[in-house]
Amino acid sequence: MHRKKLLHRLKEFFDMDARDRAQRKDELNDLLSRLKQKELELKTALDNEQDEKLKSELAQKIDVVHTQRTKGIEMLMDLRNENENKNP
Amino acid sequence: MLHKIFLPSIIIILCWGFWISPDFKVIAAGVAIFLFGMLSLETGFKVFTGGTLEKILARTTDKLWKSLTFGIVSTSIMQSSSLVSVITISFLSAGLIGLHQGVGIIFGANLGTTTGAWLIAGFGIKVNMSAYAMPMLVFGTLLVLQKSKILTGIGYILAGLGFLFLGIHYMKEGFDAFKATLDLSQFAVTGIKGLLIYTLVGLAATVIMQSSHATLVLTITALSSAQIGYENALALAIGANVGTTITAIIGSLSSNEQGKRLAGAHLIFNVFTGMVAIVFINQILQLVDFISINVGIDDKNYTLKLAVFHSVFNLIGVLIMLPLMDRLVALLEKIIPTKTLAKSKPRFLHESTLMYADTATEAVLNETLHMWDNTIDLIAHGIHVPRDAMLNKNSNLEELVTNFPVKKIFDVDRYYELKIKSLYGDIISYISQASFGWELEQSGEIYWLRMANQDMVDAIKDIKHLQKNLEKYAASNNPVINQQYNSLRIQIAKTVQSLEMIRKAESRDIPSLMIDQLRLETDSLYTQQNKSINEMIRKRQITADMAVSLMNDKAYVYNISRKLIEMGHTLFIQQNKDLSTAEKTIQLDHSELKDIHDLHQPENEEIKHAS
Repeated sequence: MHRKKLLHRLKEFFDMDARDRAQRKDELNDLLSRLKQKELELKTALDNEQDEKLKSELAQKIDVVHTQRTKGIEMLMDLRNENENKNP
Repeated sequence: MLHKIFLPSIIIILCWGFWISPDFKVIAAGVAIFLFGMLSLETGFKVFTGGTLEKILARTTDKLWKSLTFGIVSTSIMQSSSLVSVITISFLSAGLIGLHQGVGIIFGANLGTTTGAWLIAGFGIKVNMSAYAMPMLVFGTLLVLQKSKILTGIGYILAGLGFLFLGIHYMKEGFDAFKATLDLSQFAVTGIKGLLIYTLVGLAATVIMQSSHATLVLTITALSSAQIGYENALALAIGANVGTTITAIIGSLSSNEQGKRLAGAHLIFNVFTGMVAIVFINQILQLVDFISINVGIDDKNYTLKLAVFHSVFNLIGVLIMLPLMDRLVALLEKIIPTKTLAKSKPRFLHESTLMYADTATEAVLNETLHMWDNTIDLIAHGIHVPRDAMLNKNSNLEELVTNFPVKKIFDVDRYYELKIKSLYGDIISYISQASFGWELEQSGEIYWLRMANQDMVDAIKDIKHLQKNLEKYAASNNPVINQQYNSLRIQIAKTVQSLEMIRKAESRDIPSLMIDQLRLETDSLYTQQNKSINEMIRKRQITADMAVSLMNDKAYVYNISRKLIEMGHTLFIQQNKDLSTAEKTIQLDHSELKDIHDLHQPENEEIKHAS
C-alpha cells in the first residue's frame, strides 16, 4: 500500500502536465471563491440601493461576475474531465 | 547631516528641560497642545475645501482689493496665515487664480494674521481661557465622531479652537509659575544686538514649530509674566513674521513654478517687512506709542502694544509693497522662469538590457508604463482638469469639471511631439534592435506591448480632435450642450481613474473583473448617449450642427475609452505577473460582454422582468 502511494506520488511529481493541471485547478478554485464573495457583496449592495440608475449599474456588474463565474466553473469541469481522461 | 541630528537634539533639550523644571514641562505642553489645536483647525477647514472654498476664491479674488480683503478675512477666521498661503499655492498651481491675485492674498494674510496677536493680548491673557476650552473640546469631539463630513469639519474646528485656548492657558500657567523659580528677564539683551539676536530666536522658534502664532502666543504670555522685556518681544515678533514663510516654502516644493513664485513673494514680503521694522524700529515704536495713547491703551500694557506693533509693521510692509507689486511679479517671473517642456527621454531602454529576452521585455514594459504616465498627463491637460484631482478616487468628477472650466485650447500637438512621439519612437527603435533571435513567448509579449503603445497614441489623437469643440461649446450659452461636453470630460476622466485603480489593484480585488466591468460600462454609456442625442434633437434642445459635433465627439470619446481599456488589458492584466493564469483567461470576450450589454437594454429589461 505504502509503495503504491509512493509510486503514485512520484508519478505525479514527474508528470509536468498533471502538476500544471493541479496548479490551474487550485488557482481556479481560489478565483471562483473570490468571485462568489464579490457577487454576494454586489447583491447585498443592490438590495440596499434605492437609486434606479445605480441599481441598474449594480445589476450589470453582477451579471459580469456571474458570467465570469460560469466561465470559471466550465473551465474547472474541463480540467477535471481532462484529469480523468489522462488518469482513468 | 544637520537634518539627522535636528530631531534628536530637540528631544534631548526638551528632556533636559523637563528634568530640571516642572514649569518648563507645563509651558512645553502648552505649546504642544496649541500646535495640535492648529493641526485640528487645519483639518477642519480642509473639509470645506472640496468645492465651497474654490467657488468663493474664484469669485472674491478678481480684483486686487478683493484678493487683499480675502487674505485678511480668511486668515482672521482660520487664524493661520500658513494654511491660507499653502491653500493659495495649491490654487495657483492648479491655475484657478493668477500670480497677482495670489500675491494680493498673501499680503492680506500678513495683515489678517495680526488679529491673532490682538485676540491673545486683548482677550487670552485676561480671561480664563480653559473655561471656554472645555465645552469646545467636548462638543468638538462629539461632532468629529459624526458621519456627516460637514459636522466632522465643524467638530475639528471646534476642537482645534478648544486646544488653542487650552494651550494658551497652560503656557500662561507655566510662565506664571516659572517666574517664581527662574527669572528669564536676566537674559534680556538690549540695543541693536538684542534686536538681532531675538529676531533670530523668533525666526528659529517659528521654523521649528511651523507656526508664527505659537511663537507669538509664547512671546505674549512670557511678556505678560515679565519674563522677557518689551524690546526683545518686539524682535521675537519680527522673527516670527519672517519664519512663518517656511511653511509656504515647504508647500511650494511640490508645486509648479507659479506656486514657487508665490512662496518667493511671501518670503520677499516678510523679509523686507522685517528689515524695515529693524531699521526703523525707533520710528515705529514712536508710532505705536502714538496709536496706543490715542486708542486708550495703557503705557505699561506691553502685550497690547506688541499687538499694535505687529499690526503697524505689517501694514507698513503692505503699504510699501503694494505699489511695487507689478515689479515684484516681474522679478519673480524672471527668477523662477516657466519651465519649457522638455523632450521625454526613455528611462529603461538601455543597450545593456538588449542582450537577454527577459530583461529587454521588462525594459519595454517599464517604458510603456512611463508612456502611460505621460499619456495621463496629456489627457489631464486635454480635458482641462488637474491630474492629481482626476486620479483621486474620492474626487467628485462632476464638481471637478465645473470648477475647472475649459478656457483655452490645449496645444496637444506640442505635448505629443515632446512627450509621446519621441518616447514611442525610442520604444519602436529599441524593439526593432532587440526582436531578432528571440524566443516565441517574449516576441509575443513585445508585440502586445507595442500594440499598447499604439493604443495610447491613437487615444491621444482623438483627444486632439476633441479640443476645438470642447472650447467652442464650453463658451456656449446653451446649457444642454455645455453639460454634454462636460459629461464627455467626466467620461474620459473616469476611464483614466478606473484604469489607474486597476493598475494599483491587488489580486484580491480581481483586476480582470474590474476591467470587464469597465468595458461594459463604456459600451452601455455609448448606447445610452446615442439615444439621448436623438431625444435632444427631438426636443430642440440642441441644433442640428451641435448634434453632429456631439455625435462625432462622443464617438471620439468612445474610441479613447476603448483604446485605453485595451492598453490597460495588456499592461495591467496580461503583463501583470502577480495575476494567476486563471485570472487572465477568465476574462470575458466580446460576444459574452455583448450578451450582457444587450440584456440590460431597456427594451430587453422589460422582457426580462415580464418573464
